[in-house]
Amino acid sequence: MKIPGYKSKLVVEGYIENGKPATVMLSRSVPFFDAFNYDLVMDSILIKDAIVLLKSSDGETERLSFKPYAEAPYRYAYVGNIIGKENTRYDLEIHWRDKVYTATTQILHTFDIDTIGFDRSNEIMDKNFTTIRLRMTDNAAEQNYYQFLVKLYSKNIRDRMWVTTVPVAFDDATINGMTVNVEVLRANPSAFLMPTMSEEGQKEYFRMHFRPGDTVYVKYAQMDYASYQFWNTGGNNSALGENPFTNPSPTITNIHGENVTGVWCGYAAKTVRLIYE
Amino acid sequence: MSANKTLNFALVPVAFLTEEVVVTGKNEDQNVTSVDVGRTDITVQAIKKMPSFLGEADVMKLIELLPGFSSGGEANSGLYVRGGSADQNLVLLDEAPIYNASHLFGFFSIFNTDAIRNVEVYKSGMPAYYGGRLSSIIDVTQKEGNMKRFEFDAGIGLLFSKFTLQGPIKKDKCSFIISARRTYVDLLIQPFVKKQPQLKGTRLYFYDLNAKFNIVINDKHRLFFGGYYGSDRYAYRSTSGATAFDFTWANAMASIRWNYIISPQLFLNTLFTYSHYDFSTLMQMSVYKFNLKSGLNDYALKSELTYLPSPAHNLRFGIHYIFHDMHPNDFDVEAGEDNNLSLPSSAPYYAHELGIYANDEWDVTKWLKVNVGLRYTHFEHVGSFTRYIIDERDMIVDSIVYKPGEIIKQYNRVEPRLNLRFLVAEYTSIKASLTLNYQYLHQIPMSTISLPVDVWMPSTDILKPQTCIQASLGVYQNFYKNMFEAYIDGYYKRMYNLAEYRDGLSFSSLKINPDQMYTFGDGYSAGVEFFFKKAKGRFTGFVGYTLSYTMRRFPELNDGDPFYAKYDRRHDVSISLSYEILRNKLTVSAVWVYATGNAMTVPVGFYVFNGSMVQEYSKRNEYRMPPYHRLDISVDWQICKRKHFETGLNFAIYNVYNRKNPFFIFYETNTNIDISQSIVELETKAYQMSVVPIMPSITWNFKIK
Repeated sequence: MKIPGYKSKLVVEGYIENGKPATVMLSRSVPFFDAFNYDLVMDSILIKDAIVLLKSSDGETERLSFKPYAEAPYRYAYVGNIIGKENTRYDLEIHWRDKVYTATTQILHTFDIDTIGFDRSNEIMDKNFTTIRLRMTDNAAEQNYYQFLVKLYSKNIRDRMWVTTVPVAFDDATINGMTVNVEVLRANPSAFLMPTMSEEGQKEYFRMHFRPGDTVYVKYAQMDYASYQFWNTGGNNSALGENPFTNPSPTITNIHGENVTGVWCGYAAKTVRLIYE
Repeated sequence: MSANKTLNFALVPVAFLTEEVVVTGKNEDQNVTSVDVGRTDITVQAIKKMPSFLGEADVMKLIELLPGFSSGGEANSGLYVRGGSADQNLVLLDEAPIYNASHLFGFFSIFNTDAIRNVEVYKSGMPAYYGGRLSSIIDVTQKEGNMKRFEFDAGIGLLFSKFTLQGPIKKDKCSFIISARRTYVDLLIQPFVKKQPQLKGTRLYFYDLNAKFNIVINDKHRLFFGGYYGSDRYAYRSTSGATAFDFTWANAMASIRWNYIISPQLFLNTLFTYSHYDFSTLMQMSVYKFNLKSGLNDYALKSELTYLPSPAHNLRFGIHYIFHDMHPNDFDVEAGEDNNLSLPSSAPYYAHELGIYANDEWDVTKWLKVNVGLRYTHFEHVGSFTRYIIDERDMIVDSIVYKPGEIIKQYNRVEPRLNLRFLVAEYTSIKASLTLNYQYLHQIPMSTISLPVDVWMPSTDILKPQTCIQASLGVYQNFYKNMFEAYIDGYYKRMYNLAEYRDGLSFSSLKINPDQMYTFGDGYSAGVEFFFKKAKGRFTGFVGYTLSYTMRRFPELNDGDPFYAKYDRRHDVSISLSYEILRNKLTVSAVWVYATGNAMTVPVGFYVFNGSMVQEYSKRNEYRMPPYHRLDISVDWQICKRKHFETGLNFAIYNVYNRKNPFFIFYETNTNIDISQSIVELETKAYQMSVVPIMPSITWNFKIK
């Protein structure tokens, strides 16, 4: 198939979280059937020459520095020093090739969960297919938008990036004010990490479930509506866009500017560690 | 004779040797002289001449060959007529609407050929006695049963069998006919399933049953009772029972009709019909179960007077009332013992629909014939019902509760219909039509193919009636004393208030009213159709070609830019040929079809996000699948024909040259990425999935009488 006249987009993947500095990864999109190699990534896809500015509603400002960053797909990101705080707004401004891109997000307040642990009463009754069960109570007085992420460390797997679950993000319209159990699965691990695994690791790399010997970090977070819209539509396209029986819908970005996509996402998050003995 | 009388004569059989007598149900020159623009009458003989799929010739497969009619391809149950969508076709069985006329995802229709008496199809120029849909009418009438003797027909095939039993309950007074079919793929694979335990829970079948009773009360009064039930099931359950899916759908119909010959010029036809359609989609994984059910019931009463005041006029006046009882979404969700998760089922929708019409087929002069009509329609959405008030985030902020029977929204519309035929020479005519149609029921597809799980909705205060203005103009010509028929017909259709799902819906959108999930737009379709047919002789057949364009425009989709409809078909070719090698004993048939590929939205770029490749898509329906084409052949061999027994074999090959027609396109990316080692290799390719390869079949047919 030939796709003539493709125009590359700026891709912004930016996060700020309570207790952590801002990280912003900038890259460009490429034509779908083009060959993709290391030089292309480093020379033109990975954006190294942008100016990335952060301003908080507290009045703090800074310019993020481009530096090595282990959790980024391309191992480089723009990283700040200002530590994220709950109930604070953060404005992002990116200058690149004579264009300006802006976005705003908030870190809302964190929330508590009731319980979390490995679910060993799974009907399948197989230790290698264990899930994590999290119990939480939604606040009926608010409109909440949730996301759960995991990192798995095992004998053969060591996730460098946080891995989303299923669904990628969800709102509280169907669970408003309710106490619910959420099943946490390791749904979308990054293919970027696979070659670094051993051969045994590669065989089990895409497993969603957990097994004895695993150490799992679970991050439970809430975000603002604009960030949720990106995850909901972008997540749907990742899951359903490859479904040949649906029409993919546009991804809604909260980044303002010409020919850009991505998200500037504030997380109000907590992390727990679980060890499956 | 001093007055009109009805006299019955009994004929005594005497044998004469004569030339062959050919009896047809229509005039030979009907292609030229008829005022019905866009109408085709289909006979059972024409259906049975076509190559069959798995031994079953199907009326819908023949309809799809006609210019202006398109299928969506294999495993797609939709019929697309002159650019209209799949819900814009009124399919009637003994005048009762059928809401999903397909089995096995469109490979078969619900119509058992052995139970059909005749089929009338309209793609334009609908007379005023039809209404409720924009694009086509497919009016199927069942046989009434042999009044004089019993007959038993059966066909036994590799994957599919059927039978028909008909005969008199009281000779010349009362008759019946019963037909049934079933596939038995799931029974045949059981020996293999035992060796593959993971397939043990597989179910794959459909069946249907037609029945009709015909009572002649006297010369003036006649009663008919008709019924139909059919069901499909496609299910899988893992051996542990933890994973399962189950698709089931069913159609049912019942009709009671009373014919009264008031006088030789005046006839009254009154009927009551009931139609039912439902489907169920179950998906289960571990403790999580999601079940969606949807369905509807129609209760209808119709009465029509036909008046023939003179040979120049054929007047029809009628009134048609339907009560719609619709249940779009009933959810049943389970999430384990500890979870009290639920999804609200959408409220049922109730509606009244009324049509009052007058129509005249008028021979104005020897060369001018007119079919003119007017249809007044009235539609009400009534309670009980709860209308949610939602904010810009689709969150419910308030609601309005309507009591049972309370009118929520009503529509009154007038639909003029005009067909003209100018007979310019003995074998040449020019025909034109102009019609305005409204449609109060909608089926908004959840996917890009028509599935039995697409939900039906009535018009509401938000979901307005679909509207279509269609004009057509054509030249109709017969040759060589009606041996050959031909026409060229051009059309233009403008459609309004079309509905699609909005972009950006989430799981929580299921809480709001279904019609609050839609966005609205319009569309047009224009085309030219060419048709040439050899109607008589041992060699018969036809060639049809359509050149057409179909566009849609929705302000909230595709950035407001116009886009091609999914089933926009630039070129559509059908060739159907049949040759009687030995008259009434051996016939060979062939069909070849070609169609421009379906429009599709493709990924044009990708980027990395959250460590994964994310696809970026083109404008809506900007690209095309490869074209669809296929050759089918069949041989029908009448082995013996005796007074009380006939038998024959049918050999058929579907997709003779094993064309891999695209069902969908998917993409695979091979990656080898290790940034730390400076390795990045990535290659993406497009692949095509096809469904039906070459498929031979053999069917043994027999008849006992």
